[in-house]
Amino acid sequence: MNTNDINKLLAKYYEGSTSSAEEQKLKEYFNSNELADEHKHLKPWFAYLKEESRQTLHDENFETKLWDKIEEKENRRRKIVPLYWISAAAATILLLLAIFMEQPSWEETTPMAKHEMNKEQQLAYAATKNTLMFVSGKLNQGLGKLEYLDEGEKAYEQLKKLDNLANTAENLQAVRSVQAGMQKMQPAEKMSYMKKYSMY
Amino acid sequence: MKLEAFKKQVLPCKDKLFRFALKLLKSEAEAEDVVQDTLVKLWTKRKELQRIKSIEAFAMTMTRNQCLDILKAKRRNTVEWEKAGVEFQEEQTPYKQTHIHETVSQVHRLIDGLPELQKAVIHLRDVEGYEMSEIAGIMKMNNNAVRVNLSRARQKIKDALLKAERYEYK
Repeated sequence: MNTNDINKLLAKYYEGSTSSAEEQKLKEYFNSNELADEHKHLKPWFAYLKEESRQTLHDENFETKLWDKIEEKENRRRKIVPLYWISAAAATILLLLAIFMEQPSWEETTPMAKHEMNKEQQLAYAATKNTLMFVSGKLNQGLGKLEYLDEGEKAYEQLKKLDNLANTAENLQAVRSVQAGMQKMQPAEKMSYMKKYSMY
Repeated sequence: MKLEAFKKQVLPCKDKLFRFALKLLKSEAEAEDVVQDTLVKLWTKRKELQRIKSIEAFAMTMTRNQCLDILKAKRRNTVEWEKAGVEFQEEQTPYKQTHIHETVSQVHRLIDGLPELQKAVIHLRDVEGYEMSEIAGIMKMNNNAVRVNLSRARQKIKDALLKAERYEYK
């Protein structure tokens, strides 16, 4: 291939319209040693392409890791299946409950029953209200007494400070025992001096 | 698809997938993770694979999607960094630091500096040798957009290499 042919191919190449076969020719030319000077600047490009296409995923444990991941995923899937059934069962129970609880309202709609139910309902309502009022009243009383707990906490905080004091006192004691130790050391020191002097 | 068929038909794509992911993500560890995820997904879809014309192109598309997602997330973070006043160093233009002996690594830097689409297209065409229509399928672009991106990328490479050459002989 002469330089002119290559230039024509290169022009097409830069337009993005060379065929795979034509690009193969270019690759062969640029990886050969007979390059025209005017083409030398492109040598690194084709060298890069060659190098790049040879790169591989070099991880010995790649497949092991892969099969581990696949296994993990399949196990997770298997565990999900019973969950389907649990949720299906729960949904069915809820649905049945809903239907069951709806039923009284059908009776209500008949005019005769409505009147009777109203009386009964009123009684029930009053009784429920009373009970709830009673409970909430007692609850509030109970809450009032809980305030004393707060006082207890304050006292506890103050006691904590005392605790700190005790700690410092202990630390002081440690200092004192060091002092005592040093005093005891003094005679020993004298001994070593005496030894030193006796050497001379 | 049975295990043996999977090993024969799907696993060998791993290097191509890796090179593609590595080009886009610039991190070997991230690229390997993407390849692993792609292969795990392919395994879970193995029953559907028989109907697919080119498993390799399908796998490349999956890899592309994952890489673009990762890049999108990264870009979001970058924007947040920038908002926080963190400055990024501008990438050095290749011909400023050219040296006659490191010309191939210079091409690496050139490629890294290309916009993602151009980088992906030129990689798929010039490194992997895919046909233009295959690239259009993998990248979800039309044929003309592929050609335009390829042409722009090749021209940029050529211009930068010419400039580098002139710089050296001065």
